[in-house]
Amino acid sequence: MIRWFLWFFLAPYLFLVEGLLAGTLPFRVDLAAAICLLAALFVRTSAVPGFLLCAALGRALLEDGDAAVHFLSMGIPVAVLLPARLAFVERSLAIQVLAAAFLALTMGPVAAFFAELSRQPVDVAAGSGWSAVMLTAFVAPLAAGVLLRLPPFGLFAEKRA
Amino acid sequence: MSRARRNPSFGRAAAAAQGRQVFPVALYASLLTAVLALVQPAALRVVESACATLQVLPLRAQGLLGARVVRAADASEVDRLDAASRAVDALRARRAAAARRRPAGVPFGLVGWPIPVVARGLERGRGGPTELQLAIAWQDLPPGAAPFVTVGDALVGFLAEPNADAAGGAEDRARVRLLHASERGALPRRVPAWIAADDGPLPVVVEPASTIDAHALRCVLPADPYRAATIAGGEHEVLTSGLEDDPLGPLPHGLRIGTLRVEGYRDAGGDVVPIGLFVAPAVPPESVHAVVVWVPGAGTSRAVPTFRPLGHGELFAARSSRLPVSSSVRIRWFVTTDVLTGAWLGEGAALVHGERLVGVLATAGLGYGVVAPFGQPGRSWPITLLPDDGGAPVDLMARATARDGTRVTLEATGDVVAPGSGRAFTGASIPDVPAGLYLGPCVVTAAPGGASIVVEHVDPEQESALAVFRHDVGQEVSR
Repeated sequence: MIRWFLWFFLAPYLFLVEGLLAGTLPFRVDLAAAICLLAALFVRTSAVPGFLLCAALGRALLEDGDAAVHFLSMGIPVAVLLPARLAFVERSLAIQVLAAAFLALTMGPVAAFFAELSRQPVDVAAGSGWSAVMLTAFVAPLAAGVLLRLPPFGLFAEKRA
Repeated sequence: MSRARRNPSFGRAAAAAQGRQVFPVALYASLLTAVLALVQPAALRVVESACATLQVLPLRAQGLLGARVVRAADASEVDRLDAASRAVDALRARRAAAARRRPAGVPFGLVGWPIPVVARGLERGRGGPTELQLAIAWQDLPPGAAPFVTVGDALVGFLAEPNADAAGGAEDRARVRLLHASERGALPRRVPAWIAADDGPLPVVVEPASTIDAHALRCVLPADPYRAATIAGGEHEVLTSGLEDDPLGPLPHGLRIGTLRVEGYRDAGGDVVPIGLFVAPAVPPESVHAVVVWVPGAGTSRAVPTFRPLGHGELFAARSSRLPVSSSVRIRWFVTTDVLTGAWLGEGAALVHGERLVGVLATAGLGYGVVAPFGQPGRSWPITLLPDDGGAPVDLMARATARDGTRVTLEATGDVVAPGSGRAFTGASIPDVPAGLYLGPCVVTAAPGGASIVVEHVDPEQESALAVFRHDVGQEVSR
C-alpha cells in the first residue's frame, strides 16, 4: 500500500523534476517515456494500470490535456509492448533501447490523436522529430534504470525467478 | 523434467500468468474506460479534480511561506492597475460612442444601450450559437425596449421573452435569440427584407435555414419569383425592409442582415441556376462581444448602464509561483487562493491582475490552479482591439503563435483590422473569462493573409495583487 501512496503523491513532482532538468541539461530527459518503459518491461503486469494512472494524473497537472488523454498516450504503447516480455525474458539494454524508441515514436502521435478526438490542446512538438526519438531511445533506459533503484519504483518491480 | 510437467497445477498457473502478460485484461479495461472518459469528460472530471487536489497538497504548502497580497505591492504596480482600469474605461466609452451612431432606420425616440454578451446558448445545426445572454437582468431593461437588437448597422436578433419561471441568477438575464434560431414546435421569427440586386431591390422574407442547408439563413417568398430564379451570384446585401404593419413588432428598414449566397447548378454556359437563396449573417454569432439594445428615452436623463468586466462573479486573492515544465514553449504558474482550504476553482477561470487578464486556469481544484498564460502558442483567442487613432472597437479571432517573455504574438486572418497601434482586450466567447478585460498595448502590422498583432502582456511574477475570478455565468449553455 505504501508504494501506491508514495507513487500517487510523487507523480506530479517527477514531471516537475523533468521540467527542472530541461532547464539545466542541454538535452531533454523524457521521464514519461522512462515511466512507460518501466511499466512495459519491469512493473508487475497487474500493477501496470494503476501505475500508469498515477503517472497520467500527475502529468495532466502540468501538461496540456486531461488525465484520460495522458493515460491513453502512455497506456496504448505499453499495452503493445507488454507481450514482448514473453519473447524477451532477458531485458537487455538493446531491448530497452528498442522499446524506448518505440515509445518515443508512438506516444506523441497517440496523444495527438486522442487530443484531436476530444478537442483538447496537447503539445507534442517537444517530443517529435528523429533526433528526439534517438535521444529518448538512449536516455529513457538510463533514466528508467535510475528510477528502478529508487522507491517507490523498485517496489513495483516484477519478481524474477 | 520441467517443474510444470512434474506438477500439472503449477503448469496451469504458469500458463494463466503468461496469458495475463500477453493479454492484460485490467490494462485493456482501463484503456477502454479512458476512451469513455474522453467521450463523457464530465463523468470523471470530479474524480480527476479530487485526485489532483490531493496531489498538489505539498505544493500548496509553499503558500505558508508568504502572505497573499490583496493590494498592490508598490507604486509601479499601482500604475499598472490604474492603466488597466483606464483602458477598460476607454473601451467602454468607445463602445458607447459607437452605439450612439444610430443606423438610419432606427427611430429617434430610441437610445442605444451597448450591453456586453456574457454567455452563448448552443443548439445543434449550422450557424453556431443561437442565443446570447446579456450582462443585464430583464428587470433592469426599461419598459418599452425595442424587440430588435443590433451590432453597428446590422440586425443580429430579437430580445427573447423573459423566462416566467426565472427567479434571479443566470436564467434571469436578458437573452437575444439570433436570427437563425429556430425552436421546435414554434414559428421562427421571419424578417421582411430585400435583396439589393443589381436590377433593383427584390423583396423576400428571411428565415432560419434548415440544419442541412449550407448557410444559417435562407430567403423565401420572393415578391418576384422570376427575378429570384435568375438572380446572379454575387455579393448582394440583404437588408431589412421594415414593414409598417409587421405583426411581430416594429423593425427598422435598412438594417443589414447579411450577404446573399446563391446555391444552385451551373449550366453549360457557366451561369448558376438557383435552387436556393441563402444569407450569410453580417455578424458571425461567435464574434458578437456586445450588442445594442434600443430603449425609449431620447432627450431624457436615462443613463446608459455601465458594465465592468468583473461585475458578474467573485474574486479570490491568489499567489503564484512559476512551475518548471519540460516544454520550452509552454509556461505554467501554480496559484493558490488559500493554503489548505479555499474555494473550488474551475478549469477555464481567469487569473486577473486588477482588470487585466493574466492567464486561464488549465487545471484547477480546491483552492489551487495551474495557470496557462495568455498567449500560449497554438490557442485561439477572441480579441477586441481598440485602435489609438479612434473609431469603433474591432472584434476578431486571433491565434497565438509565440510568447517571448511578456511579448505575445498573435495572427489574425482576413482583412479585419488595419495596421497601427492600440490596446487589446478579451473578447466574449471564452467560457468563464469575461469580455473586456485588458490584455495590454498592442501593435498591428500587415502580414500575408491577415495581420500580426504583438501584445505587450504582463509578467505575473512581478505582480502581487493577483486574483482568480470565478464567473457566475459559467459555461456556455447547451440546449
